[in-house]
Amino acid sequence: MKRESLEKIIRRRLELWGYNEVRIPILYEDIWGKENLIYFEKNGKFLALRPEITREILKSIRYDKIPKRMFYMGPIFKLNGREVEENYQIGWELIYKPSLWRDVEVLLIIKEVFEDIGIDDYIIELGNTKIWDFILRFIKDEEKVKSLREFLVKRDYVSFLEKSDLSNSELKSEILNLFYYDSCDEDCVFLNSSLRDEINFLNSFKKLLVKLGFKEDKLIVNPALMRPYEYYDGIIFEVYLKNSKTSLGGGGSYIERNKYNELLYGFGFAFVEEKLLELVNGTFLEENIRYFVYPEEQFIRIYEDMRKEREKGIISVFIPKDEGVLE
Amino acid sequence: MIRVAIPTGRMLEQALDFLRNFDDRLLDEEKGRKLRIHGERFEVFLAKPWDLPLYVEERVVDLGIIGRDVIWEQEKNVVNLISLPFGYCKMVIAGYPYVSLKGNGKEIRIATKYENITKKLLENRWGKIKIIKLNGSVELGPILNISDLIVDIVETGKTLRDNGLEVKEVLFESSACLISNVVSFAYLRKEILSFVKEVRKLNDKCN
Repeated sequence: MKRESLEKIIRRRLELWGYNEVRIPILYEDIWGKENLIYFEKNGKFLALRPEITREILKSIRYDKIPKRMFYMGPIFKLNGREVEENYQIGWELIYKPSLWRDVEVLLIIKEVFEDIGIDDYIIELGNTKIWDFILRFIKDEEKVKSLREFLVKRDYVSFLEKSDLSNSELKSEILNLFYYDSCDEDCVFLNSSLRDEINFLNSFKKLLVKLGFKEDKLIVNPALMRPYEYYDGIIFEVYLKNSKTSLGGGGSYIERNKYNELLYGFGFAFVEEKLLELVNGTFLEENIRYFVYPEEQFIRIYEDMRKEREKGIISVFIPKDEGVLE
Repeated sequence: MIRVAIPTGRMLEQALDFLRNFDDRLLDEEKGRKLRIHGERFEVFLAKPWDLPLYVEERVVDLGIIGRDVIWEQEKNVVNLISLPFGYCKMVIAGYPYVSLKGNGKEIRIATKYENITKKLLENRWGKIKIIKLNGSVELGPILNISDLIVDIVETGKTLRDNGLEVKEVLFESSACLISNVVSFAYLRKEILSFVKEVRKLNDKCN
């Protein structure tokens, strides 16, 4: 019941914001990555169990000028060693051209969902991919840029610094300021104005969220943040819960080409439901349930009482009374 | 209080001495056989080097000090914050002097403790390699002729020389690194980065 109740709360919140549920097949024909996928072969055609939902949805959406709001809930699969790992992914996407309100809306829904389920100790870490687009522009070797991006995603600052091998000491100092952003006080000055603009944008984005009701200590600015997938473009974020070991999930602004070869702009959030279920307080999820425990032959007599309870919105469950099993 | 794991073995003394620069209380603590040491700023746990990244990833501790070779090999989901001024060594390919690094289309057998690193760095180079996973005394690979080459860390190279082996190529240089759990890095960001700031100052002094 706990899982269903959680989904019900999230679904209700999203519907209140005008989001519609979309469903997509579990089997993929067009495989975009190979690692950890679970494959099937049928008549020479390779199929894979979907490892995530967001990207596949984006492929099939047509872009138009009005905002499209959608959410999804469904199983995803990957290989963990020799074990098949099945998780349940939940996410929401707002497809629209890059705009401040679009990004803010998706984050506000996260806040409201957390309020609905009684989570008040969370942190949202904010980053901006444009900061790194700017930095990596100085490195001409494409292979090197690719591996530096991977180090950022893995948060391996040591390898990034070693591999970047920067002769430009000004740029190196800017990178150190990005990695250790909150440790520099007045001495943390970004010399390049474009870089400064992107950092300022990130900070003003945070201020806007605070203005809209986020508590200041729930938001941190980490200019070194990078997410997997190159389609991210602009504000990105990760969500952490106090007693968790890893990030709950994350998302951000993206540009992706759909199967009609159109550019699709959007902002989204996705997470694995199991991670949230482990941490939520069980009590808030308890539904108001009334159990009717009666001998089987009394079902018809009890039916009317249960119907009245259901009209009041109370879940009513008939349980046949079997003496010796149920008292 | 920040929880820090440090590795037992060759790096233990250096890691503890390093932390003592930032927490005077650790000076009073006698090491003995204790696995947990209470300081003023840090609560220090002694962990087996190969288990340590897991403790950080699982958030049993907030920070860890561990060699870069282990971080690369295990690829745990942690933040690799900064390299530290000790624990220097090199990850190398080594073998007998008469063994060539040219594959010539033949399968090359490599004995190593570092399966992932070997696969990542050398699989595309020779196409066909066979990795023989050993948990220690990797030099025995060529000696017993179960491998042509080895991939291992060396500090001075003495063990290699004593066994008639030589360094063929340095794959990368390694040192101790400070790693953080990703959630701790968000929740203790100010404390951890203030520590990193002090570490950077110390690193500057050492360089």
